[in-house]
Amino acid sequence: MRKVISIATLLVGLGVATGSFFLAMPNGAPGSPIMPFSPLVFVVGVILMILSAALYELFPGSGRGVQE
Amino acid sequence: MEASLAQRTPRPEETMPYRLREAGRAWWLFVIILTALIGWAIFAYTRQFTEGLVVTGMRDIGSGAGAAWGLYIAFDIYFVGVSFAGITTAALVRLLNLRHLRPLSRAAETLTVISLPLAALVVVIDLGQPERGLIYLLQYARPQSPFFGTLTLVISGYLFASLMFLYLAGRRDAAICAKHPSRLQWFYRLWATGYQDKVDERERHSSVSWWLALAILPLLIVAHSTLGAIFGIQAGRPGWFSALQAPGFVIMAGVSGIGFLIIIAAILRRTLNLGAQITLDAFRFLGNMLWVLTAAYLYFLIVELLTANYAAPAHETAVSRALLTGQYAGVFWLSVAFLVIPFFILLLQFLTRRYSVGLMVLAGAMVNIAAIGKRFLIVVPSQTNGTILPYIPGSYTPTWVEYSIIVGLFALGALLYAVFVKVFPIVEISEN
Repeated sequence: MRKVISIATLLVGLGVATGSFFLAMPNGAPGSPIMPFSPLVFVVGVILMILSAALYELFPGSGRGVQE
Repeated sequence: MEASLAQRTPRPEETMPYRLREAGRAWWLFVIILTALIGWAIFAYTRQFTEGLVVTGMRDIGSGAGAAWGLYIAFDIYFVGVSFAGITTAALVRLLNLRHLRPLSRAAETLTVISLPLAALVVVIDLGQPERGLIYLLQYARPQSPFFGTLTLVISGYLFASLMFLYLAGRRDAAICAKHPSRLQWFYRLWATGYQDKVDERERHSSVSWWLALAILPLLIVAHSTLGAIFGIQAGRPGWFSALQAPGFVIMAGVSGIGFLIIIAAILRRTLNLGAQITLDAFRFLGNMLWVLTAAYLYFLIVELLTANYAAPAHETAVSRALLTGQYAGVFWLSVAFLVIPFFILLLQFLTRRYSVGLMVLAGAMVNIAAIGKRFLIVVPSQTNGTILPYIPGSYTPTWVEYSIIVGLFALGALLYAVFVKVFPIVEISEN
C-alpha cells in the first residue's frame, strides 16, 4: 500500500510539473501564459514529487522488530 | 539489546541533550542584540516602503547613471549560495555515507532552511511593489526565462527538499525529546509522527534519504545555474554575458556555503562542547573541499579576466577595467585577496597534514567576505559601466537603509538559528 501511494504521488507530481511547464509558455499574446499561475502549479508538482519520498517513509510499515 | 524508543522512558535525573532549553545570560544578551538589529531593519524598511526606493542608492541604469540592482540582489545571490552548500552537504553525507560529516548534516540543513527565506525576503524587499511582484511572477513567469527556474526550483527544490530532509532525519530525535515532559512536548510529538525507532523504520529512512539525495542533487545544480543564467544570458549587458556565469555561481555557492558551515561547526563545537561529535575529521574534509572549490573559482576568474581584457569587445573590456583599476578596484582586489589567502592556508594544511580549526574558521570567514564582494561586483559594475549606449559611467553607493536591512536579515537568520539550537538537537543524539 505504501509503495502504491508513494509511486502514485510521484507520478502525479511528475505529470503536474511537466504539464504546467508546457502550459506556462506564452499563448501568443505578450506576457500571457497558456494557463495563468502555471509556475505556481509547477512548484506544486515538484513538491508532490519530493513529498512522495516522505509518504513512503511515514506510512506505517510491518512493525518489524525493535532496534538492536 | 537496547529498548526501543517506545519502551524507554527517561530517568528523572536525565536532562535534555546539548543544553536544549538551557538559556544562559549570554544567550539572552545575544537574542536581545539580534532583536534590536531586526527592529532597526524593520524601521529602515518602513522608510523604504512609505517613501519608495528613492531612499536607497539605486537609480536607473544609463540615463540615471546608477544601478537598478544593488546590495539587495547581491545578498540574494549570497544567501541562495549559502543555502545551496547546506543542502548539498547534507545530501552528499547520505549519498556517499560520509560518517565524519554526519553530525553536521542537521546544522547544514538548518542553514539552508534559514538562509533560503532570507534570500526570498531580500528579493521582496528589493521590489518597489512587493505584493505585485510576487503575484505576477507566480502568474506569468515563462519557462524561457531563467527567473522561472530560479523561482520554481529554488522554492520547490531547495526549500521543500531541505525541509523534508530536516523533518525526516529529525523524527528519531524528536521522539527522544518527546519523552521528556516539557511545554514543547506537543511539538516533539508532532515532529516524531509516531516514530518508534524500529528496524524497518530505520531501513526505510536510510533508503528514502538516499534516493531523495540522489534526486535533488541535479535539481539543485539546475536551480542554482538558472540564477547564474539570469545574468549570463543577457547578451546586451557587458560584464554579465558569459557562459561561465552559471557554473561560476554554483562553484561560488559551494565556496561561501562550505566556509559558512565551517564557522557554524566551530561555534557549535565550542558552545555545546561537541568535540566528540564534530571531530577534526569533519573540519579536515570541509577544509579540503573548500580549497578545491576556491581553486576552481580562481581558475574561472582568471579565464574570465583574460578573455575580457585581451579578446573581448570594447564595452566588455571597459567593465573589466573598472574592476581592475577603476572605481571597483578596492572591492575587487580585496575579494581576490580573500580568496587567494584562504586557498593557500587550506592548501598548506593539506600538504603538511596539520589542521587547525581556528585557521579554517578564518579561511571560512575570509571566503565569505570575498563571496559578498564578488556578488556585488557581478551585480553592480555591469550596470554602471557596461552600457552599450553612450552614457557616462555611473555609480552606486548603498544608503543606510540598505545596510540596515541587510544587517537585520543577518540578525534574523542568526536569531532563528540560535532559537532552533535551543529547542531541537542540532546534532543527532547518539545511540547511547
